[in-house]
Amino acid sequence: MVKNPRTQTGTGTSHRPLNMPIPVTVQTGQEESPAATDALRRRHTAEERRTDYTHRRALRTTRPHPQSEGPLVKVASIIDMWEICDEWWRKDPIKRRYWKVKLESGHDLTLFQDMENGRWFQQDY
Amino acid sequence: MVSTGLLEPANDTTAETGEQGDDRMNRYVELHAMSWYSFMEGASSIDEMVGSAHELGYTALGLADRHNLTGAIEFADAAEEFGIKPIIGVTLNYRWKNSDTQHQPDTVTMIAETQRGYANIANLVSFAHIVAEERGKPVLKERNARGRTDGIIALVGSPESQIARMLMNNQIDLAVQSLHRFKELFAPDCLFIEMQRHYVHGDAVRNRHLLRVAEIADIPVVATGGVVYHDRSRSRLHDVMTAIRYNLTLETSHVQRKANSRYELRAPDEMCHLFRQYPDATQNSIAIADRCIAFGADRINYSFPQEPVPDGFATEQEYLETICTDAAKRRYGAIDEKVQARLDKEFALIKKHGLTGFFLLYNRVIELARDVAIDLGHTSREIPLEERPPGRGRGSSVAMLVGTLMGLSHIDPMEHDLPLERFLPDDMLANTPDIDLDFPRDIREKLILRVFEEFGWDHAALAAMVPTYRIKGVIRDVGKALGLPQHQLDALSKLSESRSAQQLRDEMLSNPAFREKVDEPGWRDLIEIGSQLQGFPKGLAQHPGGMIISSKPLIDMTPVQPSAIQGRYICQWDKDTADRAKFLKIDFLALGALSQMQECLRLIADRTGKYIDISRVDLGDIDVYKDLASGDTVGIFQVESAAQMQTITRVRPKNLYDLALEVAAVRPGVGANNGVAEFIRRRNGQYWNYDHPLEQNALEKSLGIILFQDQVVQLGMDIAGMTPTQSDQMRRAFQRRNNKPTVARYRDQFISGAVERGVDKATADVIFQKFNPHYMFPEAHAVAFAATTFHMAWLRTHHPNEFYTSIFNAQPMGFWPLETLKQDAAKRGVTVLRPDVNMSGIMCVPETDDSFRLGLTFIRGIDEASATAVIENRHRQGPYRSLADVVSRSGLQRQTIESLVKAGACDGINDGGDRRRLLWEVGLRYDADRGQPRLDIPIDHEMADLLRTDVTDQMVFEYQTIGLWTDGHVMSYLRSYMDDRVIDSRGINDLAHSSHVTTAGKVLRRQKPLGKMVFMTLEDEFGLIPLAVAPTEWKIYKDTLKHPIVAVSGTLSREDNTVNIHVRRAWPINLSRPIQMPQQDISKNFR
Repeated sequence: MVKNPRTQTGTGTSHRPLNMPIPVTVQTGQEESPAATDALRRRHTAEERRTDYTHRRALRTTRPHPQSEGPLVKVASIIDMWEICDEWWRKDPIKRRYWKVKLESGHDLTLFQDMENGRWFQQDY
Repeated sequence: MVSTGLLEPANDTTAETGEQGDDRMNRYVELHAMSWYSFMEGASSIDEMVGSAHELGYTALGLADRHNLTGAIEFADAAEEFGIKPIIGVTLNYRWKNSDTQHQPDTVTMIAETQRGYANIANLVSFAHIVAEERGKPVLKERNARGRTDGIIALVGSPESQIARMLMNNQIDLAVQSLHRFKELFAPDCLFIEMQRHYVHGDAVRNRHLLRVAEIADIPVVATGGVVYHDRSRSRLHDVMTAIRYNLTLETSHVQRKANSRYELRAPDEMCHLFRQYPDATQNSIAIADRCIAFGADRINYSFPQEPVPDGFATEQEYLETICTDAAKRRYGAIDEKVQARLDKEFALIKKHGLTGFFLLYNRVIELARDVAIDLGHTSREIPLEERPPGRGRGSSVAMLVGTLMGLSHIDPMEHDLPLERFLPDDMLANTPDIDLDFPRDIREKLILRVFEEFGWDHAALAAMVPTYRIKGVIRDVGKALGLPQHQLDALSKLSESRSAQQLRDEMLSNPAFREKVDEPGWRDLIEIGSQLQGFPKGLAQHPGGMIISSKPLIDMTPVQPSAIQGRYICQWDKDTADRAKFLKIDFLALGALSQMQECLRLIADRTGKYIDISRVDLGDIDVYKDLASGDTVGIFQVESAAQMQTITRVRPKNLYDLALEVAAVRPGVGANNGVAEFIRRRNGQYWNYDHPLEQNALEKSLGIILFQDQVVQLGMDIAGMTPTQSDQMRRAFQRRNNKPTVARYRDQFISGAVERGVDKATADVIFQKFNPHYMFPEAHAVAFAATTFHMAWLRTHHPNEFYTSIFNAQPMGFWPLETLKQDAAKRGVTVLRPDVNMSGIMCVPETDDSFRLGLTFIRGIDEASATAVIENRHRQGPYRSLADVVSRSGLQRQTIESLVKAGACDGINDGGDRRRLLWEVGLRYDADRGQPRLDIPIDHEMADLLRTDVTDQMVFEYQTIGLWTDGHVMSYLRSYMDDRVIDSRGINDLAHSSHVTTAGKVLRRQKPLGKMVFMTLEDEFGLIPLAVAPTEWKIYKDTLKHPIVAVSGTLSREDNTVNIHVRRAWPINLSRPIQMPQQDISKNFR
């Protein structure tokens, strides 16, 4: 028997975006550079991972930014800084300042600040 | 504290404040800025870039546009105004010998350290264009660069360079090798590694690598901004321009676009802060700037060409005087005192201003033109050059008797008492004089190539033209980049009436189809970015005829590049820049009227066996002036526009000078102060007087109204006591941009000068207010054009058949469509015959004394090769006897044969073949699938019993294929559908002023000067109908009035011998549904 050709072949949730930004808390220092962060300490809820980051529009939600969990780790040095300004013609333009930092713990980390709303995220580059 | 000094090694964890800078560190010069002359790569004008540099506190600025020096002089002038040192350079693609051409070339920024360096840069840019494998993709090759780098400071390693790519791929050794090769190419201490920081991912890594290889190769570093706009607000425009440049949309140009909006001109402090870890980089920018010359137009060092003097002449001057004196003897028989005095005056001025070589060069060029004319059979070696000059002069140079005697002009300035001052002032030359020459098209085409052959591309080039973005291009290109629907962009582009994209939002708001879109994403961006892009240069094009010739290599002064037309070369400067550099520029212009005149004279000679010397026809022929004064001027050079038609009936010229007044009157500079209407009133007897008796000398000829440029100069001299040069500079000041302070200064000078000469201040001010920035003709130019106008009118009056044949053949002439010319010919008893495969030539040819037959190339889809095939076969094997004969002997494709049939070209065969039947037969004689002719077998049994072609079919077929209906006019066809109260153009002539009128016609033209009234011309089967549409009515009926055929009702205005219908209502007329007008307006008007 021939299958109904209009049957949806996928569930619509089978594609999962990779490397989506994770909201973090950052304390800033000179020239708005990150001075300390909770990035490595935070545990993200399944909901945060699944819902918030399926589309970058979620980065603009009014949902309160997650509260810091415990003491922040200090940034030892800034390795690099760069900016992205793109897709300004879309409803949700991208305007971010990225920081590659070395933490006092020895870890390298990439953070960015959404310049539209000032919120911080971790996103490995 | 965390460091944000981003050049430190990755492992450096030291905290730095960046506050240890001293005065020395806090200095920087931007050496690498690109303006809008980088053509779609720079998003700011020169003025904006220099203005920003001034605001940011720069004392020097380097412009390095990509592949050209187009903006060099404009930049130098702008920088000088702001007290900024202009440093000129270029950004060039570069390829090493034996490098793989599949790979991207390297990029080098070259800066002119010395005068020689500038000349070398101009050379290198020229070679990059000339030897490029693909036009428009210039690449400098090593072999062309060798030996031409003296005086150039080179910067390598920019983010887009091959060296940077190698470093990012960790190919350090290769990068070092490359640097060593550059070190060998450029002089010691003239190579720097360019470090940029745009806050782009990878900047820090690249710069660290650059520092490393700089140390290895022992090459100093320099910081540059790689600036592509003066302010971050232009980053979106830059993104759009990038998408346009790559023919992509914003969505698909992610790779090509810049990653962010940080390519702006930054303050020196910010650059010093960014590079504070490496103060040498910023310090070197200062050092380089100090080493470089301040560029300016005076650096170009152009000198007038020197021509070789033949044996027997001691000096150039003696040679020039002999040429002119010999010609004067031929022209006048003997040289009387008056001629001698004029010649002596001109010779003295030429010598005084050092223009002898200039005139001898023109002599050489006009000799080349004559050679071309001889080759084309337009003249012969036996006829002296000045008797049948190959072209005609225009502009103020026509006032020179020397020019007339050398064959540069067709007007005798003695006869018309033309003043010399505008072309050659007595005191000093403020600008290089230029002589503009009009040629028939065929001579001009060949002359340009002949000049290149004679002088070479490195000594002669055409001036460039810089086409800029206008509203339609803005809508099309920006809209496409934004991914807006093409059909909507097309519609908006067609609807758009304003000349400026700044008004796009208002335009959209006024249109129901776009009103809702103005705040939608995409459309909103189109409005914003479109207004920024308006006026941006798109690239370099060829000027219609301006040619620059130099004795010294031209490419030492300005780069030269191939034009889009094979065999031609253009320099990278436009007319104004070339003028600023004091180049000798010759304008070779193609004038369709001269091509027509030449053709007309040949046709007359073919018929009568006698070639008319048009220069000797009676310039007082009263019949010609009667014709012109009636406003019947369709097809007559210079007086065929609607405005000229309206004016000439009131000026009513009776001699050549009157005609010059008429030609000059309809110009924006005259109309600006209501000068045209006032001139006409005075000419028709209204009392007037001078504002001051001192005006009489300048304005007597034109009844106290300024009609000519020369009169402004003369007024400056007579009223304010200025020298000719000062006065001419005052005239030119009005035409410059941002000229308020300059004009104010001249006003003060004019008024104080006038007061000294006894003119009261208020009167002096009244006279000064008559000057304006709009264009006017020089008097000599007006007389020169009037002569051509008269000659064309003379030919139409006395040889109408040849006149109309030649004007058809000279199309496109840009004014009237063929149908209008056909109607006009009919009024003069000349019949236009439809094309015929057994009678037509390639072009139109007279058939009887009062008819000519359309050429086969006048049929759409029939090119010269197809027409030649038909004609040659006819000559070889005799007339075509049937359609089958045409098909089999011509070998033409089915569509071409169908066009011939529809145009009526096969009516004369097949027993007066009916076009419908012939079209059916064409279908049978071609293979339906392949479109190839089938075997010539009987087809009678396949012929259908069709209705015969009726008048509607015939009309539609002919409009489709030849753009006119030989047997009638679309309005004569529609007339039968109209009520008698729809008045034709003849009937309008009988109506009184203020009459209500309803009429209809085919729309020929719509003009909207300066956004006020819209003037339209309708055409019916009897003539032309002028309409004036007020802004209110235009707003209501503009869509209707854009239909090809319309009916209108309104009020007839008949003032000062001028007729106009002021439109109150309008209706479209559709051929398939001609009844469109509502009953309440004209009951039973349309059946």
